[in-house]
Amino acid sequence: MKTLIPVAVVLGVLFIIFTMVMGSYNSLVRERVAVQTAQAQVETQLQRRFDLVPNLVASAKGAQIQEQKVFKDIADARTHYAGTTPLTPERIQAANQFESAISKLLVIVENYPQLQSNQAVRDLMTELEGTENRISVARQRYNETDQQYIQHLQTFPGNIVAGLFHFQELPLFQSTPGAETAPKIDFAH
Amino acid sequence: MKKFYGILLFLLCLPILTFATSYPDYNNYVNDFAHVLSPSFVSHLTSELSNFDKKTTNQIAVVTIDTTEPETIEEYGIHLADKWKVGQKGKDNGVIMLFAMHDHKMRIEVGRGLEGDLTDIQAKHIESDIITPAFKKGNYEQGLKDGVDAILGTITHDQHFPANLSNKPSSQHNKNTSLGVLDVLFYLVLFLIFLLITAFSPHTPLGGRGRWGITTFWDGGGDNRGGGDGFGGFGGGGFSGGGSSDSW
Repeated sequence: MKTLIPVAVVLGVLFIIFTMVMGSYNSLVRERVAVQTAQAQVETQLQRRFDLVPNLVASAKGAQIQEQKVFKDIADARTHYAGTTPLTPERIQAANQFESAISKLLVIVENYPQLQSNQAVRDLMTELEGTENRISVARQRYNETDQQYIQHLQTFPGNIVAGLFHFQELPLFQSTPGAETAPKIDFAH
Repeated sequence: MKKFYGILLFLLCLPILTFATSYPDYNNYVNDFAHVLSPSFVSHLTSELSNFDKKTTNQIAVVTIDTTEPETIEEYGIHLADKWKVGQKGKDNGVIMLFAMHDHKMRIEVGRGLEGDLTDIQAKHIESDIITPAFKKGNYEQGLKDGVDAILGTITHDQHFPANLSNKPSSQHNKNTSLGVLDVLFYLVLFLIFLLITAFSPHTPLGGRGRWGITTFWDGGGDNRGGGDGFGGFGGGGFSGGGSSDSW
């Protein structure tokens, strides 16, 4: 009877450890899925931007705008993005690169009366503006989800469970310096 | 010393942080926090939006505030949308019309489920073609009324929807800001009821709105009239940044 007590204690401790690890593992999985879902939202909106920008480029070219460097930067950034994999810092960097490339085009279009008076171009800009806003909302939500996941990864017992089962940190979306002050599309004036 | 500066910086940021995170609670479909609308107009609009909700389950909230600072109207819009959750859960069929009167900026924030029926472009056209021209002239009620009608028409794909909404004659474009006899009577009755309630209750019945307290009662008392039977709050609709902004 006396020998049974240590066995019971060991079993009890093992059981507690097991539940802790299981709970932590399960929530890590849940959180990672949430981050991936949020990432998919960002990708969807980025894709929409990729679909819209060529139309704007075409309109600009149609209006005889000769900004070959800007057009080339946009095309390069697009290619660069296509060569990256989701949920890597490179992809985030590529998305930012594309963003700064199109912001230059937007400034040009904005200062071009012939394009501004074109209703189709204005609608296109409205759509792009909406997409930009959706991207920033999707990014913010991604970051919020990711921060929760990262926090769990770095704190006990999540850090041990993460080490055991190879959970990795996923990069946060950090916009390029100066992106906040990027020129805005504004047709109000 | 470095630590000291860090703490100082943190303390300096504190008011900004607390300000950035405070968004008002809603009272009803129409929330005239900037006090630019007449009570009778608020009640007309509220009943129109309430009927629309009952008929289609789409929820539209109208909000006037002074300023969105330090946030942009886009940031403020999505944060307010996340807090209020206008629209039905699962359907995500809410719209928020946000007007920052001091900033001269407006935004139509469209719920996920309505992004197909009220596209960014349509929202932009409603703003720039209908609302902005009226707002420029200071005709806020006119612009708001026409803007709401346009949104209802667009969502239902029926240009005459607002007229068909109720069997009573469509509410006139009410530019009149003075109180009618009925309004005065209404407020008198409301005032008496208020007096009675406060006389018998140790707490104000509006405790839940503590932030505005009694002032809300006076200035926005009309809010609850149109919706009258059963504004049960917004239903949990989700937003993901759809819609459009404009300035006047």
